[in-house]
Amino acid sequence: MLTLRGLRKSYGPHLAVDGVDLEVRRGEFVTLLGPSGCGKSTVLRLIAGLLDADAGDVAIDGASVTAVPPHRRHIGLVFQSYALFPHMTVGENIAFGLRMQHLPKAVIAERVAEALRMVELSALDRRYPRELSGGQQQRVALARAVVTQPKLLLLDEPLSNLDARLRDRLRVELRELQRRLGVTTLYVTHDQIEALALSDRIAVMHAGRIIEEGDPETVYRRPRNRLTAEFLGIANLLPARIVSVNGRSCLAATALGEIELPLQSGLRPGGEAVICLRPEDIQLQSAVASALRATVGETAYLGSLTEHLVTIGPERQSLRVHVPGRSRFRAGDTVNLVLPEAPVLICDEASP
Amino acid sequence: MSNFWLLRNPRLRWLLASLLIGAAALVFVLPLVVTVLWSLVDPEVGWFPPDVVPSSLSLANWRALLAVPEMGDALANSLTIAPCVTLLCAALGLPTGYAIARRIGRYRPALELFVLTPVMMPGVVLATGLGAFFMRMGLAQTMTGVIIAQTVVVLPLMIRIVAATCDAVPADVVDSARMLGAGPLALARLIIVPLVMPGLVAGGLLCFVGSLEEFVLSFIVGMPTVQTLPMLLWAYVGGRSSIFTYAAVVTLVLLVPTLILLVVIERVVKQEYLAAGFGKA
Amino acid sequence: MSAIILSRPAHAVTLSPAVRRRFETALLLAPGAGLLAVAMAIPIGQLLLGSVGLAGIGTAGTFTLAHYVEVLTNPLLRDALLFSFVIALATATLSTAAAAFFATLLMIELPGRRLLNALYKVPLVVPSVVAAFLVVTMIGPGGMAARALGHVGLGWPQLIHDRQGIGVITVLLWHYVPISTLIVTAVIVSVPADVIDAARTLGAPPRVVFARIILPLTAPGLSAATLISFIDSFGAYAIPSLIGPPYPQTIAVMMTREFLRRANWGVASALGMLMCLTTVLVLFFYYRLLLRLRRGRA
Repeated sequence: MLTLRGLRKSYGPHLAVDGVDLEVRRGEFVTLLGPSGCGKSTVLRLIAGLLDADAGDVAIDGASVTAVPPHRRHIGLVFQSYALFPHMTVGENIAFGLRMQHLPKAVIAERVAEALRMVELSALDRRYPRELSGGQQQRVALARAVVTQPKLLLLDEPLSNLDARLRDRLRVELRELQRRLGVTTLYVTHDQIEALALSDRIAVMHAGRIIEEGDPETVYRRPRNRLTAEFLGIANLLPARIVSVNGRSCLAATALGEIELPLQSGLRPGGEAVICLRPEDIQLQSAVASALRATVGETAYLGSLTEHLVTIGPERQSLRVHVPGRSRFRAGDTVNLVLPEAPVLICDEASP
Repeated sequence: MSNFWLLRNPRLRWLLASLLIGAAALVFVLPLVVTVLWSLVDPEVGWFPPDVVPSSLSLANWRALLAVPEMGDALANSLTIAPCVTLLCAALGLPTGYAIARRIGRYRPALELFVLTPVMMPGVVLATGLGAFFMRMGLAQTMTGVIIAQTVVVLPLMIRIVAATCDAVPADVVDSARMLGAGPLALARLIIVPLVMPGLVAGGLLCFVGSLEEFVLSFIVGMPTVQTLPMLLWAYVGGRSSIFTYAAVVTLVLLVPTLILLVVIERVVKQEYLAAGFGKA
Repeated sequence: MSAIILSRPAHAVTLSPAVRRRFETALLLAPGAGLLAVAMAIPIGQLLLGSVGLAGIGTAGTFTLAHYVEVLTNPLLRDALLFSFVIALATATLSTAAAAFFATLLMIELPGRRLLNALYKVPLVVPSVVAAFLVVTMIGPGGMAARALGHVGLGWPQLIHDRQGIGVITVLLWHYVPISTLIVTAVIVSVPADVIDAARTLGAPPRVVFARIILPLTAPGLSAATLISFIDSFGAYAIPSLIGPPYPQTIAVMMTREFLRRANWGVASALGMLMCLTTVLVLFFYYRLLLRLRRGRA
């Protein structure tokens, strides 16, 4: 329903968006995930029409909207700063978009009341934004954007200004709302938990480009890209050198010794790759004579899990390991590492 | 900064404070008191040295304000010109100030400097140049000419204040209005003007007072047909003759609105706006 | 809904959004900036043309440099230029120094500080003509000071219409010290408190904090205040015309006299161009100074 083709935008010498292609299907929830400065907010503003692209095209329902001014694109946008109109009440804020559509007053009143009920703020319709808490303001911003029944909903890090607990709660509400309304949504964030929890699909951005795309599980468990692996969750990246290839598997030399891995295309003996191990995939066992021996270092009890920093090998490479609940191991212990059966292999050649 | 070694002694502080306030009173307040006295001097008796206080008071000079034609005319002129200038400045300053704040990015410093140039130029230069041009256009010695001339030196103030106010309007708020379907006119009417209103009001007040007080351009363009209060005052202080009693009356008429404005500004408008807008008097 | 909104009539003019925005911006700027541009170009153009004998009032005139020659060789005008310059310099330096002093004073927590803060701003709203009147009534020959001292048998010096221009400078100071103090106060306040605190925790005594931190950070603002009072004082008309000496007169007074009283348009224009030149030169040197200050800071 939304198609981005070859979008490019520079600010003076700085290339913010460097050729972005993306397809979003009707009703889908897609997240643009990336660190600050990767260009994701710029992409959003290009779609909204608040910025003009240097090159490329934005098309909605097959028709290019590049020449359409933002106030005619019928797109909802929720800002990180909420951007509520300070001189209007909550009710007037929500009604604004409907007023611009020249709907009859009765219809507007009804839709506003419905929107307020949807975000559970019915009692506050006469208040001014400055009297509301952050979470309430964000809900009003959301209601204001969806009440006009836009074809496309854009959200620019809407939860970043809220404290952690509120963020969790609103995240859940947001997902429910989107599912109920079925509106095509593009969400921008640097928070990978939000991306994983909310999205049907994640597009990882870096330095103005989309470097990887896929559903949350695929992107998390089988990143094809070093940057993706590092950005989504904690990644233990183990450099590996392919020693030999044998049918559908290969032998790789690592700091943990030689490991057998499933073969991926493009791997040849002598080639370099990186093994990506998630902390929860590595298990610890009491030390027994084995090649995969490690020493437990810094340990932190994090409530639902314990994080250990274990060092391995002669170079003392460290890995982060998560053990559910309270771990029985302590700093100084010697342990065995149990690796997953099919660890993810990332070929450096594939990383952009 | 407040812990200067000298001033830890509370008695010294009081001494310094009273010295300063005394000096301030002498320099800023006493002249105004003297002016009030001058305005109340009985014209039959006068107020000559060595009298430190006038021997007899009367309201004759104030009555003259309305009785003497040229005083009444000047009052009427000033009070007609000032609102016109203010409205003109508001109409011209709002779009320009907004454009400077939100639309021109890296050209902003250059344009801001340009806008300030009429204020930085020596008034006489602007005045004579404009005056000569108006003479050729037949606008000299007309109300219209004076209004235009005053607008030129008062508009920069309004533009700067509007631009500063627009800076305070978050760009996101304007953008969200656009996403909600507001075209340029609706945007201006429903979002920008209401949010910029405090700046417009402050700027309007300052423009009004600036117009009332403006001297050099009005003088050179309007003399002798169109007289404003400052021009009249100039005449009474020695420009034409020396009539202190009338001068005092005109001074007070000029000062009352401006002093009220000062109080209002001190309470309402922020310090930065003043420093940003003020260049010349 | 989408079809209605996205399709555009085939005959509509399709300007690219960027071009359209630029057009809108120009439209927004045109009334205000346009008026100012025209309103400055015209006088300067008039003066330029008039100074070389063209664009006269009533006649077209012929090109000549005689006006400039007259202006530059006339001793009256040389003295006027010097006089104006001296007055401007005195006003600028004294007002900035006084402003710095008072601004610092006002930062001290004194009783009645709010009153002082309000009082010193009085001259801001007092027009220069009024200021001239107030000064004449206070320190003029028949003024209050003279009368008060006369009671005690003391004389009062000639402070207005004097050759040194003391009266003029006094009024100008009365006017510009408050404006400069306002600017300086705003500039001092803009120095972040943490920077000062950091210096103090690193062991800097107040005088070092002032000289090494406050002064350099506020220098651009201070110099702006100085510049404003210099340029304004140089071109001042109202005050010198009322309480300045009969000789020498300031350049603005001379110019107006040539224009209004003697209809000497050519000479008046030449004088005007000289004033412009001086202002531009001062601005230029100020700009260079500012650059050097900024570079020194970086």
